[in-house]
Amino acid sequence: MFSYGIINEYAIVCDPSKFPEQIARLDPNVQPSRYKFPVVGPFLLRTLRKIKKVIRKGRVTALKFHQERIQMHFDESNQYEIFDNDTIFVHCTSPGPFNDAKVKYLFQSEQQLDLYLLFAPPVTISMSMLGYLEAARQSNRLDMKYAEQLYSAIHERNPSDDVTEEKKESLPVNEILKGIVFPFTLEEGTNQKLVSLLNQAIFLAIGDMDPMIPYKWLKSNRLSMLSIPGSKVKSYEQMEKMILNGKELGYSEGFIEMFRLLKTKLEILKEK
Amino acid sequence: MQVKKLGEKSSIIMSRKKSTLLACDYLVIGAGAASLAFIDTLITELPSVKIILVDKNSVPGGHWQHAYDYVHLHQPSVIYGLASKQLEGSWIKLILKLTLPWKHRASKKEIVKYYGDFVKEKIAAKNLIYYPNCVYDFEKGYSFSSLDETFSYEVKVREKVVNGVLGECVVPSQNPVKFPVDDGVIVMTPNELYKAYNDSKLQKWNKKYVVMGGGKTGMDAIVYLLNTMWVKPRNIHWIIPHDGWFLHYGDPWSRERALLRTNGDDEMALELLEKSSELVIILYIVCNISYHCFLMV
Repeated sequence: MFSYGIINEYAIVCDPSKFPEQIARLDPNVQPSRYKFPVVGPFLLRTLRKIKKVIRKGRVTALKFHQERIQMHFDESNQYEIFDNDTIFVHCTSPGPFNDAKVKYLFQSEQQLDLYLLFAPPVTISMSMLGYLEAARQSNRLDMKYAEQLYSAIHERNPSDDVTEEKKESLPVNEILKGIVFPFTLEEGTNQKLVSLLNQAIFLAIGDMDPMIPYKWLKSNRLSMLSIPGSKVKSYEQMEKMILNGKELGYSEGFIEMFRLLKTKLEILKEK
Repeated sequence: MQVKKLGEKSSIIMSRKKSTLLACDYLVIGAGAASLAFIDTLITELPSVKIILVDKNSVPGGHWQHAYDYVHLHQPSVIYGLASKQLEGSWIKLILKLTLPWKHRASKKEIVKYYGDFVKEKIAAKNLIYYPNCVYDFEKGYSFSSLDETFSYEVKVREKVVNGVLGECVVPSQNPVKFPVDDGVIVMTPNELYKAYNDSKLQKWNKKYVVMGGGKTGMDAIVYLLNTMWVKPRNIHWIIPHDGWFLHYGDPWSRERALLRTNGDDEMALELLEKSSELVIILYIVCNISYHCFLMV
């Protein structure tokens, strides 16, 4: 009857931002070098920690027979490990999700959309939101005027400074979306690390003239963490912090200006 | 079986449309989790949209159909899949089985069926034309052909081509080891391990295993060896090339919020996240007791 891992489920039905946020490592004495996304609850962690023979010498580079035993070679160590010749090696070394793709833009062109993450995994909410944006683009529901202001802020382009009539014309819709909707990648750098928060705010700001419409859509989307009763979007508050600490976070003036614009548009979502 | 029939039906469509020009609003490449979540929302928002879906596999579901049979989601089913369709199934049925809905982690079988059913529904609703066993020609564009190159198609796309295979998940069964292995060394993918165990070809008790890889697949293999095959922990070695921080309590955005609090200092952010464990453990115990008291009542 004892239901292991229930807190895992309990935690996500509550407001995650009010909860102590949690990460875990396999061995408390080993400093991890990367961040991964599977949820490893208490029961699973306890099971994994039963394995005491953990070898940390880098990636395996060869499995060779030597004097009727098997030698395992590594890329980060000259030492090798020896195993009995009937040992079974389980190959779990595939790249897994994301496939090391180098993605710079999602709205590639007027003719092509690339599906990639807007947020940290799970993947499906990002794709659902891209579906919403694409449908809203097609049915002219996006707040493109505001989107263009966001674009101008980060690309330090001031439309009022443009001299010629030609330049005063709005940019193509796809060009604007390409310039303000960023893919979430596993690359380092603060801009990248906070991209989930930024993309959520941009989605709410441009998804419709009224931010309450994309907000309600997100709240009703089963794939969204916001569909969990009691959870809050907090984009307004996050933009406030990003304006305040933008420079320390490594953002350019243009980005900080964009956060200001987002904060203004999302005021209706304050404390939501 | 139903999904297989779907593929067969689509093959019939292909033979009829040999060398013909097709037309659609969106041409979507790949029938995995990413493409199907996109298509689902697009159809909800634009009910009359016409989509052509091209996939190299014979059934929808992307990498899930190639994954090992004991795989389960590493996230709650309640927030995975398609916006319009629950993956976890009926909440009442789950509660009657004493399973909390958000505790449900879908299996490979459930996920593949879920995606297969969705594609069938959308074909029936005439939103979707599905071309399995076909590859898109990225160089030429707007064209694809069957894997055996018997048929080829040109597509007139009214809106966009949607590339759903950029972040394609690559699993061991599709990706042989990249290093030299001497003849006679037994290397198995998790799929082969499952099959060998279920075909009783493994004398499991006295065997020694080395799990190579510290990601989700590696963790699943460890759990399978320990909890299903009952291999003793002392008979398992685990090769972890790089240790990772894992989400302990299911909020994928926790790192970003912590980074905001620590002004972008990653080390401090990770420390902050890790140190908050004690309170969660207490809550864990409290919730467990409450839940089981509730069940007993």
